[in-house]
Amino acid sequence: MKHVIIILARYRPFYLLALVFFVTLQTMAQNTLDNSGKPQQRLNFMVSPKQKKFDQAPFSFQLQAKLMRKYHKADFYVIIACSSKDMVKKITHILESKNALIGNIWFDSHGHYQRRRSLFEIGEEEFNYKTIRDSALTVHLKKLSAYCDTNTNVGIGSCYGGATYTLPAVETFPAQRMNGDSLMIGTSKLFSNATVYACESFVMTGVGIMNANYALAGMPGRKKFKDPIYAPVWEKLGEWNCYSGKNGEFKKPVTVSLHHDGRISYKQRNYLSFSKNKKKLEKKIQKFKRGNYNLANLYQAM
Amino acid sequence: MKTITTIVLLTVTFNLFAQSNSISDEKTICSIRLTTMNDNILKGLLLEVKDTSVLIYPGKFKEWKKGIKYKFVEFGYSNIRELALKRKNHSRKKYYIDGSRPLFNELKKSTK
Repeated sequence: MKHVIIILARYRPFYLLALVFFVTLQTMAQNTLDNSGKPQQRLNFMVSPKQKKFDQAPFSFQLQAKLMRKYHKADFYVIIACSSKDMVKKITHILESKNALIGNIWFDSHGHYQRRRSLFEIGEEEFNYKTIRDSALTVHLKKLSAYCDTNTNVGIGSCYGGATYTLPAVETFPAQRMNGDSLMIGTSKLFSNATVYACESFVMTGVGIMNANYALAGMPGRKKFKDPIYAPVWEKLGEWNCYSGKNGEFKKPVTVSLHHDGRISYKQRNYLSFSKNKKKLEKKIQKFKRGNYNLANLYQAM
Repeated sequence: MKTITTIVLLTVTFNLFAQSNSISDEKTICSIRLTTMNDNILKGLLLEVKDTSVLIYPGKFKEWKKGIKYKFVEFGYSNIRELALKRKNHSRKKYYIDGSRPLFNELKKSTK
């Protein structure tokens, strides 16, 4: 074999190049084939929490996702789980029966600004930059790594899930970094170096979130958000972060959107690059008033 | 017949006692709206008025009743601009403190 390569390199370098190209293609093809020789199917999952009390945001998300599931039954699943154990059990059952891999997985969750860190929740379990590294707490999530690879996309659908800014000091609370980037790196490692998307700001659950448009970006209307405490969040409206576990790099993928079949993609223009949205934001920021946010929320989270 | 009447009477009496207890509890506990020197607002229940500070439960009366445990917050008068106290069936009373010691006796009286 060694002699063949030397001869080829000396007399027929083009043939050697062609051979190398052929071998690379072959290995790439093998990676996407399963044992039976068929290309392995990729499924998309939306994970949403099971509600004990009525909550508008997850209710709207679940309703829209379930409606889309009706049109994409083959490759799109909505998982409503009360814990990570429950979620993993349901997902692995589907993946095993279909002999498939995870294409896209989206965690629908609330963000908790009062806890002053980036996080996402599955049921009542919280995953933040600390707990995502804890092998005891992520023991169930780790089981999904067998069904993920570098082509898997993970979406953290909680508000401030990928926040990298430092929150200013408030009363007795010192300035604190949100550490959304550490959460994204941890999540990527957990899911076999998958690509992770997370938002710096609010994630909306209005009508049409799965229409591949700007529905995930937007401005909440509640009074408590119109306080200078939330200023860093409003400044980063519609901005997302992307961590590629394959290259170990962070990218700014503009504004992320969801497709009908649960695929995660991103738009070419930023949400705030539209003059209409920018004007609306400026108007809102002018109306900010100290005292709209109740500090009791911060003390409750202690 | 006698037993049934006794049971009914006892139940009614216990119910009345229970109701009167909860009402008195709700009436004695003051809700507080505290404005800090940085103009931030803290809403909660006033638990105690001390010489140099006030002790606050950072939650609603419903949460207090349910027994949800939050860490109490102690706010020194030097960090308070304004206090507004409100008891059930009473009008709101405002105390402008602005970092100095308030009219301690008046504040204590209003919480009793």
